[in-house]
Amino acid sequence: MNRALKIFVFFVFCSCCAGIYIYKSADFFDGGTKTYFAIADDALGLLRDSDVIVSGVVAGKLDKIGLENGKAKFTLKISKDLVVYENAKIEKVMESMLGTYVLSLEPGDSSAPVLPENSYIKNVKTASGLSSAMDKVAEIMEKTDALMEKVMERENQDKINKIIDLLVKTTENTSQSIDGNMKLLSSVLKDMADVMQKVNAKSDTEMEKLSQVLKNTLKVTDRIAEISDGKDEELNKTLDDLRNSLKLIAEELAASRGAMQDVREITSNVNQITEKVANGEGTVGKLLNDDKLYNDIAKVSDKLTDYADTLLGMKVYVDAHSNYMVFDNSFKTYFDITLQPRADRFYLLGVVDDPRGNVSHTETTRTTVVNDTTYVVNDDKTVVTDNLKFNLQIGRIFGPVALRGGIFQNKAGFGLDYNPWKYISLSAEIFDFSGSAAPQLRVQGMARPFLWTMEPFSWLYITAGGEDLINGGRDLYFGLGLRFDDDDLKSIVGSVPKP
Amino acid sequence: MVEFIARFLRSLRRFLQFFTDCCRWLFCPPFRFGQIAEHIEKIGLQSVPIVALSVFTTGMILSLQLINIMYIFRAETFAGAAVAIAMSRELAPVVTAIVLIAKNGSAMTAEIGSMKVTEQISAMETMAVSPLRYLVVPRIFASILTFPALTAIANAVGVYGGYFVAAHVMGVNSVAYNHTMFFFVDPDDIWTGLVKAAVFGFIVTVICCYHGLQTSGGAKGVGRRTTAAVVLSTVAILVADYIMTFLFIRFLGM
Repeated sequence: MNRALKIFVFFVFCSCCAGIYIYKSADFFDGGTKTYFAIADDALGLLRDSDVIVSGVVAGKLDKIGLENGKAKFTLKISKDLVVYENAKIEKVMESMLGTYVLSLEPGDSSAPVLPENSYIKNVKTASGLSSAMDKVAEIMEKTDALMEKVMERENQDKINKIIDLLVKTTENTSQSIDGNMKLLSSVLKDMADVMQKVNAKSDTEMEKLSQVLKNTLKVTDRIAEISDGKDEELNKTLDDLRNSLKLIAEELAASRGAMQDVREITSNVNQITEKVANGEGTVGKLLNDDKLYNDIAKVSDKLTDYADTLLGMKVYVDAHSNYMVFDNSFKTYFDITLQPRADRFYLLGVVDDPRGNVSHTETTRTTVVNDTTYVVNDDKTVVTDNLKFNLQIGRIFGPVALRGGIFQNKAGFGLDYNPWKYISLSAEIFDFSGSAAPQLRVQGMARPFLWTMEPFSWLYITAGGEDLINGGRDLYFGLGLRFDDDDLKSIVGSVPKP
Repeated sequence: MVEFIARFLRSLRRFLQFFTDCCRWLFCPPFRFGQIAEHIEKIGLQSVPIVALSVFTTGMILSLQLINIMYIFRAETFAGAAVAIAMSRELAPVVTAIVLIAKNGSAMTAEIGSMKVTEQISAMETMAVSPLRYLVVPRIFASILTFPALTAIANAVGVYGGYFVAAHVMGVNSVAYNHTMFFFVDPDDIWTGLVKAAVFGFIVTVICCYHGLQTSGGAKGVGRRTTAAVVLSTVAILVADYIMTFLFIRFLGM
């Protein structure tokens, strides 16, 4: 094997090893990332490169942990595809029992404006999940301990014992009073029944009996009054003690009632919100209850999807670039369209305007006799047919590497693309195995230094490389090109005024 | 003692002179691409199997030891991260460099030393061909390019060696092993390893070629110089590794 080819294959292999390894460890996000910051009280358990998850899906990385005004400052790299609003929340949650944490991001909703890049996410909660629950338990335990200490104090124990004694006595007295009076009450009720019968009878004798009943009733009333007079003081004292003790207990319990109060308030707020939603108030309420609004949104969404699908149906990249051939002192221009129906497959159609054209050499040998001497003459004829060449290739993508095969400038061949970074692409093509000469090797590096800028500068890229490197017709080149995709096409089509 | 110090200082001066000449000629055309390609083939392509075998076994041993230790904490999946970080930051560049010193560094010294004792170097100088530009500079270029390239292969092979032992011998969950490995390894770890390898390539070649050019005393002298070159290169890359690691930690935070 040719030494140059061996070295080329060696370096391509090494580049692939390093590139794939770097790519796998780099956690790139499609479409790039944007930066946000957050200030938190506690960064314990978080590491550089810890995941930022949205609904359990990794959507970014914790790029840096620093200090700002004595608090932890997080620098977050979030996927560019994710829209983050000003009401976004971020929370530190435990990833595993090993004590590692991740950041859970709630990106917020459209009720708040979109949060610009390099801004601070204001709602940050770092004590959460298991640690938060443990904190609450510790707090409750502290309060319980304090309560128990107070209860166990001698003075309070005496009070409680006294309360219990008084409660026992009061219960006994009350029971006795009720027993005594129940008999009287029974007699009164019997008398009352008799009175009612007599009243109905309306006789004088019966009226006398009624008088007797009333007397008896008076006696009962007096008797109750006597009982009450005798016990009033004792009863009042008991009730006072009971009231004081209950007040003491109520005060102690009030201290641990804060959390319950919070829960009640939250529940109350949730009830209010759900009531509003159920009544169709607010944006969410309208969305849930207004069928017409929902149908309108669904129709608009369907129409947009149809529009995008019918417009292109697949990813399309349009590429036009021109290379200055250094040794040939000419320009070679390419126009390619890449159709990508799936993430791992693409088709490339292209036209190449090559000033050198298709060069074919014809060597003929003839004999000439001059003055009886026979001469052998070799005629070397070079024919340049046409300037326009075609590319028709099919490619498969394997992560950062793409393999291509098909027609390269009217000749069969195959190629390898390596995209270690979105700004840089390296390509190698080998084609034209037909002639006696070695196949044509074309190596190209492409850089997109303006990709981070606004359109149309982001479409610009620069190229450099060499053509036909193995044979004598080798040439070096550099050039400039434009490359845009179907998203750009959509915006261009969308901005064209309708007739 | 005084004689020893004076000899040491004279050698140091000669080495520094040689070192600065090498640095200067690295940037002066013409670059002998044919020579460079020849040395890339010798140092790079022909060393792939031995480098791969060395780091593969290194990765296996490291993985075996770490899994046994981490099993105590039921954290054997984290061995993947430890193997990958150790491999990309330190082991791949250092082991590759040591293997290349043994295989190519010694060969460089012996080859140039033999040329010196057979007066081929003198003949070149007589023909106004600089031995430094003709013999040393192409080797330096080749080493600067091939050491990182072989280190890249060593990284991949070493990590696979660790994975092989973990997944197929020790029965560690392969998915968890890979997950923790790629979670903790950063592209910066790999880049720093490759930068170290390029510097090692430069150091090894300069030392070995210097000893070759300083050879005297026939075949015995060649042997003595070859041994000295191998020992000095090995020590030099370990010292350079420490210094570079310190600088990376101090200034780049990695």
